Amino acid sequence: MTTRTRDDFTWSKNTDTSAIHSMIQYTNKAGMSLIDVMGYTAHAFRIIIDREAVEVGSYSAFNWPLYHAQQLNNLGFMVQTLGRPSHIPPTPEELEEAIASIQTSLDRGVPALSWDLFIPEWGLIYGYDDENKVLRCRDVRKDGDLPYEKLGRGEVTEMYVLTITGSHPVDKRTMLKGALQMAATHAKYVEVEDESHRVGLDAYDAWIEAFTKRTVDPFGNAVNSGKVWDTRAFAAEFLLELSLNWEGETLQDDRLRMLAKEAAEQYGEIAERLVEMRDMFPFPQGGDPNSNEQAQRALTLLHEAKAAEIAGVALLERMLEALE
Amino acid sequence: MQTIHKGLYISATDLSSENRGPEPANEKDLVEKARTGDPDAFGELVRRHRSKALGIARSLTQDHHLAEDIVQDALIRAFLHLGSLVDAARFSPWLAKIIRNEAYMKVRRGGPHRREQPFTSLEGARQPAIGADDWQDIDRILFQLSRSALDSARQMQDPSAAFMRKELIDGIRSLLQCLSPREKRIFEAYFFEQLPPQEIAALLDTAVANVYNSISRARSKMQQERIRVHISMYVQQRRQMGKPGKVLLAPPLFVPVWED
Repeated sequence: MTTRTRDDFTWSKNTDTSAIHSMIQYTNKAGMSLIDVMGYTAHAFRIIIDREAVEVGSYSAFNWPLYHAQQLNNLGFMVQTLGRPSHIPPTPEELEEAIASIQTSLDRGVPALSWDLFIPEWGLIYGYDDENKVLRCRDVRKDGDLPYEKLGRGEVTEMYVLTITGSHPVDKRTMLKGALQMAATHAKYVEVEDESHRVGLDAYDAWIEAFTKRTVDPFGNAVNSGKVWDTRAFAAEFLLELSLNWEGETLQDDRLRMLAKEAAEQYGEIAERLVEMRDMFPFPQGGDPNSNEQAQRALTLLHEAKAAEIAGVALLERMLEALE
Repeated sequence: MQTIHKGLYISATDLSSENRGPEPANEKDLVEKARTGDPDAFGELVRRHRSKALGIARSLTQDHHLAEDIVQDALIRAFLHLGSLVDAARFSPWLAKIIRNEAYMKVRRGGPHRREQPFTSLEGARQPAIGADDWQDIDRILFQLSRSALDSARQMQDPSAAFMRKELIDGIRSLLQCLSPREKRIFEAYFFEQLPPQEIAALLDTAVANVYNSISRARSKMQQERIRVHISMYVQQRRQMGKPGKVLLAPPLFVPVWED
């Protein structure tokens, strides 16, 4: 039996999912817990690591419009996205289009998801004021006003806006199936086409490679240790809740509850390894990851975490079979 | 103004299909030719798109005469800003957007609008290029402008070309207001007079590096100014359309945790 690495599941270091959870509270699906949002978007099962240095931006090295839309679709939302990771600031026309889409959403009472408002993380835009030409924004760094002209011209100069344009009911079985499919795909398939980032199970190898080469960036590693630990703690909790609360009387439902309990154990194992990583490499200084002592310990933890993840993914796939 | 309109005016009858010669290769080639200032190529583009353009304008205004005016003005605008059309194959949607903007301006102002429209609003008609640095467009227009300045004799004979050039320069000058007098002087010397930075440096008794810095700073200021003007126009449009001016929802659940 693993021990929980946290008791409070009302916050997450994964700012897109955390912002998306907040966004949902303004819709007809309000009340959905952060645990459910992390689980049913499959964000709890994601991991992306850069094999050169475990660089800080690894968590955002994916096709945002594609995966965010997929995640929200799985919860029963239709979305519109503008912009993408590009390092190119918006033209005046693109900026106007984005502001118009934000305002349309706010007029309907739902905030917009955006990027790099006050820091290169995801945050929400929950107000606008045409008179002063400012957007009211919140991200993990700050709550405040952002001039219209500054949207997409923050630290990394790229614009991204996602708005919810519709919602339809989805039952838990469909959501779970979709989430498990996304998780299994993420674990095994190449989603990111670049030289240094690795996704899913390969991400553990990338992390191991950087520690083996002793080329770990202390800050990036601290950020990633914290973020990936956070996801796996949510994964364990999501699966545990599923094992306790999943409704259904068939043998397949019994099987699903049993498999979810076993999977919760595996993800709990991963969270235990990663919380030790998080504490050894505290944010923001990040400890001394390239020292022999810490690197050796990290390698042991990462190998163990990867073994548990392989077992965990296999269980998710069996859960998927039980749902077929 | 009226003569200029007439100068470019090609009536629907003149352009009826019976009068057509053989079709040139394709529209993209026509756009490319028109970009170099070929009036025949632009005339052919007009011939092909006029009736569709009129249809759009009519549907927006419900007024035949106003629609005619809109199309005329939109075509002048299109000719002026061909340089900013990034993808020559997308002439038709680009023109449609100019028509819609033009119709909107006319309907909003309730009559033929004044010519003092900021340059940015003209630019607003262009199709945004994905990932394009919009500065390339300004540079391209500026260089086109200086090229056409060399051909002054031709312009003397063609009042509409002279008018276009004047309008273009006016538009750019309105943007230049955001620059300091010295930056403005350098910018104008570089773009309008096409002086090399070395010459500008000698002229203003400064280092070449300073000239480069000034040009770069001026570009970035003008870029900010373009955005500022564009956003102001957008906000103004919203106000005129009676859209809400302010919305503030309850703060999100998640809280800032960053410790600076």
